[in-house]
Formats: sequence, structure tokens, C-alpha cells
Amino acid sequence: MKSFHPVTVLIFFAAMLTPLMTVNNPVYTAVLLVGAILILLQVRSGRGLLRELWGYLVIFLIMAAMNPLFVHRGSTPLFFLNGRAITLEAVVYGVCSALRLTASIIWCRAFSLVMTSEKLFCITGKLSPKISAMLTMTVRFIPDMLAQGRKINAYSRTSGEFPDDSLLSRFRRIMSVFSALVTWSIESGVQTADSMKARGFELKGRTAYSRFSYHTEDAVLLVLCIASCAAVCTISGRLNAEFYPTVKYSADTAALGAASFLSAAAYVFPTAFAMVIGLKRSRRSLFRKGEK
Amino acid sequence: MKILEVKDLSFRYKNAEQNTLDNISFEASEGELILVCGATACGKTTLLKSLKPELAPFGDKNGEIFFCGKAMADISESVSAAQIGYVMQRPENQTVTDSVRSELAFGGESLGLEPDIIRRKVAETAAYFGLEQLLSHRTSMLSGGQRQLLNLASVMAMNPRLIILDEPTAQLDPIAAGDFIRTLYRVTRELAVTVIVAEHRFEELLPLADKVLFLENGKVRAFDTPENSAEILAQSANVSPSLPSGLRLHSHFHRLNGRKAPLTLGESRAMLAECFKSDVKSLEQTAKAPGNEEAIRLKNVFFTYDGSSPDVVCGASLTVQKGEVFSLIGSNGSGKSTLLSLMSGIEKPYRGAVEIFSKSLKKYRGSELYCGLLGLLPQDVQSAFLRDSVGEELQFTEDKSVYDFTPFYEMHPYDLSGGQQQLLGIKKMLMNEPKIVLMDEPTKGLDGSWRDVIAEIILSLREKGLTVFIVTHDMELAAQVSDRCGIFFDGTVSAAVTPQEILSDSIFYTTSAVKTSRGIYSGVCTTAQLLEICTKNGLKEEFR
Repeated sequence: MKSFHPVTVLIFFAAMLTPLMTVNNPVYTAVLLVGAILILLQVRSGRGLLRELWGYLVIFLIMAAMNPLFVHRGSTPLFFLNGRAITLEAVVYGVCSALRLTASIIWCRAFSLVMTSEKLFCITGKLSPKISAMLTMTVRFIPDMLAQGRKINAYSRTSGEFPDDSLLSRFRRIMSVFSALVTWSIESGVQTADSMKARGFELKGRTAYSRFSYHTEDAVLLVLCIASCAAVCTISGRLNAEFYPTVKYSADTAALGAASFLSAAAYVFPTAFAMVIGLKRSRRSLFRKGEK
Repeated sequence: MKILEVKDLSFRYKNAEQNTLDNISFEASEGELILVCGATACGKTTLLKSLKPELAPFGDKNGEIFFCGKAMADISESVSAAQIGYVMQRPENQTVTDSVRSELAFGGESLGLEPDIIRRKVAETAAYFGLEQLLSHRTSMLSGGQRQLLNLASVMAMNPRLIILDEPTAQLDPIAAGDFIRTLYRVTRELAVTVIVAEHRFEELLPLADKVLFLENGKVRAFDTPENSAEILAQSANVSPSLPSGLRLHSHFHRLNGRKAPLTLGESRAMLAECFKSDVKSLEQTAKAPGNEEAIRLKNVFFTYDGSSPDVVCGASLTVQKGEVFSLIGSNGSGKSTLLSLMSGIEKPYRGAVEIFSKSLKKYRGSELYCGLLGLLPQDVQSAFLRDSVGEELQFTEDKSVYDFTPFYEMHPYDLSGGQQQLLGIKKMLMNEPKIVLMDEPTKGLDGSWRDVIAEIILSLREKGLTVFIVTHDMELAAQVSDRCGIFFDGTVSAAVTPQEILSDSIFYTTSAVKTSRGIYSGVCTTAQLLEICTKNGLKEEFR
């Protein structure tokens, strides 16, 4: 996924998330959840992966439990809690919507991993080079500001200007650290502005440089994404399941099959592509090692 | 070919009584390296900014500036943006974007170049400045030296003909500063770019410069080759402390009967060996008897910022006696400042203990430690300014010791000069009457005369019986003030001995006086000592 053009990446994730939002069908949601996990595995480094997946499971369980606890619609009571009915329908709906929510979270997480600031600026740069420059400045400034904040904070603790440990004194200290940080930010902002002016930021006709370029695989993925998204959205009416008052699964099997196939094709393509490229790379590194 | 020509330039800020710049004339040819020097507030920055139309200060301006034969007012905005580069003091404030790659591309984007051309420029600049490995790095992850090099490189990516630099190495450690200056020199020689650089620590730059422009009170005192201007520099009380020992010696002994001013170390050593007698080999040192009360003690201290990275401090042990001045030297990023934050209780060791007056840091309650026991001067003195005016910072004290700040009470601390800011930090540190002071690079970014001021303050603190612990890159300062010196290396403190012992047989951790006198005299560490021993020995007949 990482080797695709930023615009392709943006459209891909939009094309995955839109049907996820519009279609309420557990089977189709499951298909997309598998896709989300596949893409996540592909873009994420191995460290802490298991813990992250556990986190998603916990979110899923909590969300699934929430619905029947608070919603008491439905016609099949399973048991009563505090005089309120816990219905089968609410449980099923809870599980389904938790599944959708978890899938969306994982898709968003994968998106944030793929869409590095550089890729984001490539897209904004196409819209407006100036806005793009402003965004990258902000992103540059935040770590510097945090570092300065830490320095000022450390100093304020040792300066002896805020002697007692009372809540009020602590509050005063934090406030003066904050105000010093604001002053510092303005001061350093003036210098940054000078540096930008010196390098012609005020000239007209700014361009945006990016090192990304379109390739055939971008075109293939774009066609797959747009086609599947459009198709799924058109037939989404025939996919939805009904939950209240009774669970009624009347989805058109043919439509479901088509939707699942199209969406899966859209996410399997970049996965397969990354796998092939990855295999070629690792074969190459193995080969190189042998040479030495 | 003339790149820049300044004719009778005068400048006065609005509401100012005096001209900041007064009848300044000089010129620069292609590929020349021009060093601008002068004391604080001599008009250096105003002059440099006047040479860059985008940054030119507002006020009454007289005189003319020509860039490549054209009047500065007539050159187009894109030409001035591309062909005149400007680099300032603080490296981190000049980087605009978040990644090295986009920073290098920034100038090309401003000029509206095609992405393919920008790519080529980024590629060749990165290769020339050795930044290729760093291309994908976040700019905030770079060291100060790397960041300043990036600032220079991003200016160079626009193909300038003239680069103006205002104290570019002031915030860098000596090794990074040396690298930066050599890169600048390379740019002038290999690419024929004209460089005008203002610097107040110019020991390394002086022999490399083609011309020296020496300003005093907004007037040109000298504009000549380094050899010829050296004498004028040495006569100025404000600038001479920044000069290398050889030049000061040369000037102190009235040019040694017309001998050429020594610019390089070799020339200085030849001068010392040939012109002076060597009957007195060394000076008598009055070593201070060590006290018997421990002020600071580190016992086998270990520390790491994050469990998965290597220890920054591993097994450091050190004792500092009461009433002693101790300097800790060591390379950049070795963890010296970390050791200081362990001593001041900002960070806590995961193993070992820190004791202040034989009592563990852990046993000090609340801010007991910071009210009357410990004072801290942070490396970036601006992080010590928490209020909006100098008066508020000092609680409008009547006390005039250290420096009389009363005339500046209305000003914001940031508007003081670098040296004054440092003194304000020191004065703030002393407000709670601490018994131990910890100073992190007290002379960073300051010129020789301010260094002398700070050295005097440190010695006066010692007189009063305070314990002073300094972390520094400034060997001259360490030589002037310390009773003992330690080297921080590999997470531990080694060699806690007298500065003479460390400086006289080190290659890098040494001063210009030691380098000049090594093998001729022994135990000479500071320029003052060198002058003293030379006076005692006297000149050989023919040089009187």
C-alpha cells in the first residue's frame, strides 16, 4: 500500500470506508474487516501488533455489550436485567454494529499509517501549494515547541520561584510556563517568517514538489476502487439486513456475493501487489547475502 | 567580478538618536569569503539585513548598494530570493518544513520551478552537503549542527551568488562549528559563491577569510586582508579577547619589530620560538587546597531516558568539594547536560545515588532544594525567562551585583543582547542565594569579552564560598576558572584533575594558548598566562 501514489491511497481508503458506512450487512462487514486487518498487517511493523489487536477486540466487546444494555427494542427477550428486557435482536444488532465500528477503526488506523505527512502534503500541494507549505510548517513546529515546553517546565521546577507545592502555586507555575512558551513561539515564529521571506515564500506562482509519481498499478487500483465502491453503493439497498422488531435477513445472495467480491478484489489487489514486491525484495536481499 | 558593492551606506532606525550604520563602504568579488566582526550592537545585523531586500530594516537609509552591477532597489524579487541567501543564528527557527527533503525543495517551490528541476537540485545539494542519508528524517530529529548545515544547503539549492550569514555557528558546539565553517570555505572555493559572514568567535574563520570587515559603532574600522586588519582587531578592547593567542601576543609586544601577524597555529608557534627567550619554562601555580566538605557527590549513577535505548549515564561517580569550581567537558551529546539534570533532581537515576551536602537528593522535600541550596542555569537561557519584563524576572530588586539591569527593567528579556540574557539568567539563578550553582554552557554563543565577564563572575562566586559546577565546551573558560576539570565520556566522568593536567596534554580538549606554547613552555593554559610568561622571559634582542 505504501508504494502507491497519495491520491490513490486517499481514494482507496475512501472507497473502502464509504460502503462500510452505508451497508449494514454482517457478512459484508466481515469481508471488509478481513480487508482492514490485511492492510493493517501490511503497513504496520511487527512491534506491539498483538497488543493492538487485543485492543480492537476489547473495543469490539464493549461496543457489542453496550447496545443490548441500553436498547430494549426487539421481540425476543432472552432474560431480564433490573426489570429491563435484554432482547436477542438488540444483541445481534450490537454485535453487527460493533463489527462495523471496529472495522472502521482499523481502516482509519491503517490510513493514518499509510498517509504520512509527506503524502498528505502531496495532496494538499495539488490543491494549493501555499496551504501545503503552511501545514508542513505547523507539523515542523509542534515537536520543537513541545521540546521547548519541556525545557521551560524543567527549569521552572528548579528555579525556586514557585516554592510551595500547593495546588495554587502549581497552577501559577503551569500558567507562567505556558505564557513563556507562547512568547517563545511568537519569537521563533518571527525568525521562521524571516527565513521563509528570505527564500522567496512571498513570490507568486509557487509550485509543490513531491517525489511521488503515478504508475500502472495506481491506475489498476483506482479502477478497482471506484468500480467496487460505485457498484456496492448502487446495490446497497438489496444488502441491508433488518433487526427490529425481529431479525430479518433478506439480503439478495447474488448482490451480496457481487459486493463482497468487488470489495475484496479492491483490497486484495494492493495486498497481493505488496506481497509480490516484498517477495522480490527479500529474494534479492537473500541473494545478496549469499554473494557475500 | 564584483558581486556586491556598498557605497557610503548610512542607516538610522526611526526614533533613534544615532546612525546605526555610518558611511559604510566595501565591496565583495565573486568567490570571496568576507568576515564581518565587531562587538555586540556594532551594527553587524543591521548591515547584513540591509544587504537582503526581503529583510531590510525600516528607517532612514542613505547611500547605495549594488548587486552584480545593478542597484539593489532595481533587482527583481525572484532574483533577490534566489541569488542572495541568508542564514541566521538559531538553527531550529530557520527550518520551515518538517522533513529534510521538503526543506531542501522549499526554495525551488517558491521560485515556481518544475518538480523535475527541483528534484535535481535537491539531489545534487543533498549529495554535496552529505545530507543524503538524512533526506527522509524529520527536521526536529536533527542535531543543531546538522540543522544549520541543512539551512545552508536549502539556501544553496536556489543557486545563490551571495550568501549572508549572521553568526551561524553561535549555537553550535566547537566540532560542529568547525565543520560548518569548513563547508562555507569549500562553497566559496569550489562554487565561487561569495560569502559574507558575521561571527564573533572567529579563530577558525580568520585564516580562511579573504577580507575582514571590522565594524565599530556602525563605522568601518578596517576592511582589509586578515594580516593587515589583525593589528586593528587586537587593539580593540571588545574584540581582542576573541582573538587567538598568537595574535594577541603579537599585538601585546608591539608587532615584534614589524613581524607579520601570525594567523595560523604554525605561524604563532614559530613566532613564539623565534622571538622570545625561554629561560623561564613554567609559571608557578598556586593550587588551591581541596576543601574537606563534600558539596555534590555522585555514587555509581545510571540513567537512561527510555528503557530500550542505551544508558546515557552509566556508573558515573564524582565528588565536588565545597567552594570548588569544577568544569565538566566532553563531546556533544555525550550526556553532560543529562548529568546536570540528575544533579538538580529534574531527572532521577535508576541506579546509584546523588547526594547534595552528604544528604541524598531523595530526602530533600518539596522545593527545599531549590530555595537557597541549588541554582541552575539552563543551556538555553531563554527557557529561564518566565515573565514579560526584566524587572519582573528580577522582582525589581535593588541589588546591582552581577550586572545593573535597572535601565532595562521595562524591556522583555528576549530583547536583551545574548550576553545580557546570559547574565540575567545568572542573576536569576543567584536570587535565592544558592550554595551550589550548576551552569550548563554559560558562554554558549558569546564572544571573548563576554566570556571574560562571565569568568569573572564565576571567580567572584568562588570567592564568596559557593560551589560551582560547569558543563562547557569552552576550554578557554574551563582554563580560566576551574580548580578541577573532568571529562565526560562513555557515560562516566574520568580524570577529575587540575585543568593544567588535562589541557596541556590533550589534542582536542585544549586552548589556543596551550597549542601555541606546547613544547616551548609548560603549564600555560590561558592567553593571560601566555602573556605573563612571555613578559617574564622577554624578547630576544633583534625583536625589541
